[in-house]
Amino acid sequence: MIGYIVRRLLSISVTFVVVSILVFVMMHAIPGGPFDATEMPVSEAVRAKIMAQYGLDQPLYMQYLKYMWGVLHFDFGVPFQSPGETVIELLSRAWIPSLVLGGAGVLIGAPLGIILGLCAALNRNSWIDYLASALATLGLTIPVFVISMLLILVFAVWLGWLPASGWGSPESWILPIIAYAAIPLATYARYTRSAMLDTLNKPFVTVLRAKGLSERDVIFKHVLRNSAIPMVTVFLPMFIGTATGSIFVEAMFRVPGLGAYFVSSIESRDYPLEMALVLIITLMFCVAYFLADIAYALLNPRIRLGGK
Amino acid sequence: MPLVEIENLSVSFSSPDGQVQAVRDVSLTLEHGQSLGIVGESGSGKSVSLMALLRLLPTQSATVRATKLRLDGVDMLTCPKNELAGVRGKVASLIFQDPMASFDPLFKIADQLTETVLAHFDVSKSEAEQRVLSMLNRVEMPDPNRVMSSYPHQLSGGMLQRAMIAMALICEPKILIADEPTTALDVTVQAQILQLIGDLQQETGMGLIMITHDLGVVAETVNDIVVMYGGKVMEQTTVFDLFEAPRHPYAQALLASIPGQVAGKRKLREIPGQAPNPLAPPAGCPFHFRCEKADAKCVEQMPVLQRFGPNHATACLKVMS
Repeated sequence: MIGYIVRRLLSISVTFVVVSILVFVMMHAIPGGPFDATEMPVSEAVRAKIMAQYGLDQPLYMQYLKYMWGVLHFDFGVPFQSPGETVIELLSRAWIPSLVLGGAGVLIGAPLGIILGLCAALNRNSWIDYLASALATLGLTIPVFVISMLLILVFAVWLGWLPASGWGSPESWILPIIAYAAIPLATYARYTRSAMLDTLNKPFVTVLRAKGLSERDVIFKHVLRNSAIPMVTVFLPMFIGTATGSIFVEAMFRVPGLGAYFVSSIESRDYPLEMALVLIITLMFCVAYFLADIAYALLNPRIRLGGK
Repeated sequence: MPLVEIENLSVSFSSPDGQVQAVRDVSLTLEHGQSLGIVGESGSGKSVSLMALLRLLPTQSATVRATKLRLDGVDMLTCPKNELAGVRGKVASLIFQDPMASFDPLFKIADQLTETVLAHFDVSKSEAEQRVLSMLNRVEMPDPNRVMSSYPHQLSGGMLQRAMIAMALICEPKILIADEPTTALDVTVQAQILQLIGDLQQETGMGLIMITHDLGVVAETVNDIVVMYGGKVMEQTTVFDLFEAPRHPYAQALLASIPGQVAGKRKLREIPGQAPNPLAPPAGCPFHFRCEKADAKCVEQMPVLQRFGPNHATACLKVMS
């Protein structure tokens, strides 16, 4: 188990370094720069001074090493688009709405999806099974901005129950949370259903019934636990994916979250912010997959203890 | 009162292509303490019949009909769901073909055996564990303490099948149904497991039904035998009579196909042709396609089981007294 953890940590570090190099190179390979003449009509001498001030006159590998050295000390630099604060300050301000809405979306959508998938698997070919399949298909095929528009149309425009957008009051959080919950709900309903059916078809489930366990023990003690193993590997990464904000949902509901900065940092060649976003999200995904692997191993004695 | 009473049992499964008629009009009985072998090829309906007896077939797809389906006096057709659990494992236990797939991979052997005890007896957990340990000793499990704290993947197939037998017998059932218990095991282990099942049956006086396609297995462990083909009973007799004087052409062909009967003959004797399509079983004898003696009557008319002597019944139009 300890060897397993060390191997996983090593592979995460490698992933992290490779991603950082790739992104850094790609970011600078895009033609143009943050202080081009079109953006900033100043004399060449002034431009050279600004470039030197931000270290942009140095060779690329020096810039990379310098930035990564800062990252190791939790210094992600100063965003070009908002020089009055550090990248860390900007992110901790902008991340809160995304974290609240995305987190709430997953925490509401995933359990509902699990319950729906469970009911579907236990009542195969019943109305609830068809409902679950329909919801799962809709949730995965309808783009989230269409769902967002429908929500605004129905609940804000027609019924007038909830505000269409904004971040000021908790009522305005409800619609974006529903929009955020759609994908985890659909994914989880589908995963749970197929994982449950997979387990229910295993011979050992027949043995459990044949030895006289009650159906409740068969399902809740054995089938659920076996089905949970493939599901833990999906949950944490999905949580990160949703909690880092969705450009579409945030744009539709005018939420001042992280999503908008993904686009603006690339458009305005805001290298420090762009790098910081990529690195932090990469790290979060790596940690999420790492934790998922640990949970997988803890649940599964064949991995925890090794063996055939 | 017989231990097992099955009368006119039919089982069909709904499939996209229509109704699969897995078992057609099967009747059999077993008295307390007796042993019965059910022999047939894959798809002959031998396992399905007994799964139907314990009501273990999926309710959505399987239709079970019978005029009588009783286990130790309990009417399994009308038995409510919560009482079925009390019959399974306590009155009748099952062991299956693949011991590796028969245990929940996430629980230790001890947990899986004690939960069986706790499902049927109102005893403390430590008392249940005591019973498990003594049962593992009874099935001659090597190093039972280590086995108890092992997960299924840490044990060999032979050890798992011993554990499975221990789990099946721990609540002292009145009948053990063994569904191809040795098919997935090495030949040497096969013999040990059969010996063990036979010994335990003698010791406990329980009934035994051994489902197999291996005539050698039944010859060693049971007294009576039912030969099934195409979802129907072809012949019903004692093991001795079957080997000495098989009447049904299928039973004769089956015995002739056992390897090593004729010295020097290398090639396996086989029965030409294939089993009938269970989606559209023939109106007549299911074996007529492959039977050397079949004539026009066999194609049209379904033979019924006819008695020939006290212990022998055959369903064949060509077998006359």
